[in-house]
Amino acid sequence: MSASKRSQSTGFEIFNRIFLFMAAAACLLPFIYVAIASITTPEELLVKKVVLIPSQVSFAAYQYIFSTKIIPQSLGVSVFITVFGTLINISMTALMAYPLSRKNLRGRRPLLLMVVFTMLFNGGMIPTYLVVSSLHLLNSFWALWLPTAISAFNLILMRNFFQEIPNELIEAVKIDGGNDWQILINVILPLSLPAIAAFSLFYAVGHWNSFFNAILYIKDADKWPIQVWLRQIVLLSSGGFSDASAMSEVEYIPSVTTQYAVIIFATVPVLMIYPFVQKYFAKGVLVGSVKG
Amino acid sequence: MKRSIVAFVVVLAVAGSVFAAGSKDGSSPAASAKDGNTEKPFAFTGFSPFYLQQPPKMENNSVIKKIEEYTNTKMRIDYVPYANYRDKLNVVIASAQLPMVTVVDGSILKTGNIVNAARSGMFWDVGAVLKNYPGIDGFYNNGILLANCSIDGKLYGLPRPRPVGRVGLVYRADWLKALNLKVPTTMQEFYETAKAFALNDPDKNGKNDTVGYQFADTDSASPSWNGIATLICSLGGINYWGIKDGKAVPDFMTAEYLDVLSLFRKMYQEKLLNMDFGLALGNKRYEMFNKGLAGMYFGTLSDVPNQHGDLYKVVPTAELAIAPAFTGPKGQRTNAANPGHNGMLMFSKTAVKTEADFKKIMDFYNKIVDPEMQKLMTYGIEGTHFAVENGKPKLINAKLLQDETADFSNILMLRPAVVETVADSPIKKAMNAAFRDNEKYIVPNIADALLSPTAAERGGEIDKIIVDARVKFIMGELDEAGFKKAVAEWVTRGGDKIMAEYTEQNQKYGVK
Repeated sequence: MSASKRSQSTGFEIFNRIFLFMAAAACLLPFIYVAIASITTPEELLVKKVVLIPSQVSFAAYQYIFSTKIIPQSLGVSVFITVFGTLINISMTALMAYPLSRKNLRGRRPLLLMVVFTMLFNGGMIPTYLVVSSLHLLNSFWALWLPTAISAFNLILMRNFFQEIPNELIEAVKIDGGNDWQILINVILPLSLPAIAAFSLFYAVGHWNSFFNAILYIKDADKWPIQVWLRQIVLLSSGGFSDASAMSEVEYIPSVTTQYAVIIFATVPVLMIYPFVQKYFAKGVLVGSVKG
Repeated sequence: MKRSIVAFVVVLAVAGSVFAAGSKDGSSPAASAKDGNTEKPFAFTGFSPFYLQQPPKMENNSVIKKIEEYTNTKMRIDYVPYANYRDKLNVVIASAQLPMVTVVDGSILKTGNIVNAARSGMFWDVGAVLKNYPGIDGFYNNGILLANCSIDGKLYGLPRPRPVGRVGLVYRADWLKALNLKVPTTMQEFYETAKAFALNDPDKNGKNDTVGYQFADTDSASPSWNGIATLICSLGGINYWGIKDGKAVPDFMTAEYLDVLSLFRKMYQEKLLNMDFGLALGNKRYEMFNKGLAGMYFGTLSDVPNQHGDLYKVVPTAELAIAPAFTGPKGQRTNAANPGHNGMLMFSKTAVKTEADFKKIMDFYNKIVDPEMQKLMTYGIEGTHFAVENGKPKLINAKLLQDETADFSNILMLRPAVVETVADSPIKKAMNAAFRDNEKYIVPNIADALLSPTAAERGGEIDKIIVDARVKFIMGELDEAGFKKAVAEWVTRGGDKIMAEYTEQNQKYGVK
């Protein structure tokens, strides 16, 4: 009896492993495919539908990317925008979330309602552009950082997290003569590290993926982040634009492999960050979902 | 692709004779620059989309330097990726921050934003002064082009010419030879060729794996590139919009439209065309053709020389050819005309404040059309981009030329619609010959020259009703009565207004 039970459980175990392996493969394969496609020759990619082991390894796509300095340079721009942008996001969000988490703040409800209002309604693209332009932020990175400095959704989540910190801790600091700045910096923030890490990741991925604001607000092409070029190359290599053919006598349409190479080039930095913040990430997502 | 570029040797037919003169008379640009040196270079700003991987660099660009010297100007151009060009342009217009020269492409020239801006006097009236600039005026010898670019009968910019007879039937000449067929020139022959291509194994691989006609219903993206208009015109019908009994009517209200759809329906049933035609949009439209599985397609002929590099990789023996303008039942030959332009260069009155500055910009473009400048933009600089071999220029650094000039030319695109070069590849020669030939038989789309606020606002939305019904009709899910019901829905949802507006406009500004 016990033997059959064991075989039953190993049967389940085997099924379970196969199932999980396939689930993992379904997630991983597309990425592996993109990585391999980026080092395949375009001809091979064209004839065979799926290539997992290229018959010939070619780094032509990467050579194409690095043939101008614009892609490596824009990667630097992206890192800069993301790092500083996230610092601004986190400090601004924390500075607003802390007062809103204190019950003795006067006008807390109207303030909070105003925040929620922005989640439902916003001025739209053109009015926002006019504001940015009249503040003389055009063509500077501040145009990318300031209008999106605080995300209303993240603000409310962070406020909820701060609210859950026992009031007794704060009272203790007050008895010791600490002011609100000391409470925030020495007590609240150290206790909220998992939440901060999670929000940093939310904000950072947002900055990393954004391209439209850069095109809208920044004129100099060498100040554009990598996503702008990624998009342009993907659109270009997948058939180009309807008028492209009539515009020039000479045509270099980048091959499909270039598309894959740029995708790899733009994703790898984010992928490298994930393992380090993942443990916070999972914790942080639960923020506010369970009340103690 | 690569091969054709390496072998890329071009001689502008227009510049051909000038070329010899130009090299003899090399002092002329220097002389004009010397004259200009007494005056400070005229600084101007521009706004342009770019289509390639990156915008051309403005610093250390030898071609731009030459142009600036020749015209005594200093240019600053802001580039936007084409995919976001529309949004950015709308924002810039709304905030009244247009630079001096703006590229307004064909897809947005007749939209509410631009039309309203033009009507409110935001742009200089170029039409009023065009006759003072014989160089530019000479490019616009085409009445259709000028009429199609005008807003309320006024020309608010410099049109960017494109071939009018731009659409045609492209077929696999090697298949035609293999099956011993003749070139299709009527709708009936088109059907028979498609049938033979689909059923008689033209690639001789023993498998029934080919389709006769690759159909891509690309209507919303590029009107008239799907062949429906071409076939309707060949039957004596109208090109999208025409006049019947003094009223403007769309093609889908005519009998010829249903004739063409019925043919496609039959071809769909007999599996002569690709089954996924409703989904073959954008980049997918050449997919089957480039894999060597399809025999014919209707499309813009501009794509023929440079969109089929993949086909030659898969089928090295493939040969392409372009069918002549179709012949109709009464013996008349026709070609459904394209608008003949891709928008205009428009000059903002907020940035170009004085008449004198406007004159300077017009002078600049008048110089751009000089053969000297046209040659520079086609070949670059001798020794850097091209070398002279046997008295003909031969590109030695095509990549550099493209990097320095391709997207830059969007804002300097004053050249004839059909640029012919002595040493064109055979397929390019065929393309240019087709452009020239088609132009003789064009059937214009009257709506190209007209404005309908309702069409600008709701046209795209309600045209979907027709496109959906068309796809369903071809697939056999809808009968004729069902299609007519869709047309009736189009009428009630704003179509009647569009017809009334076009009728009224046509009486005022229509091509006579």
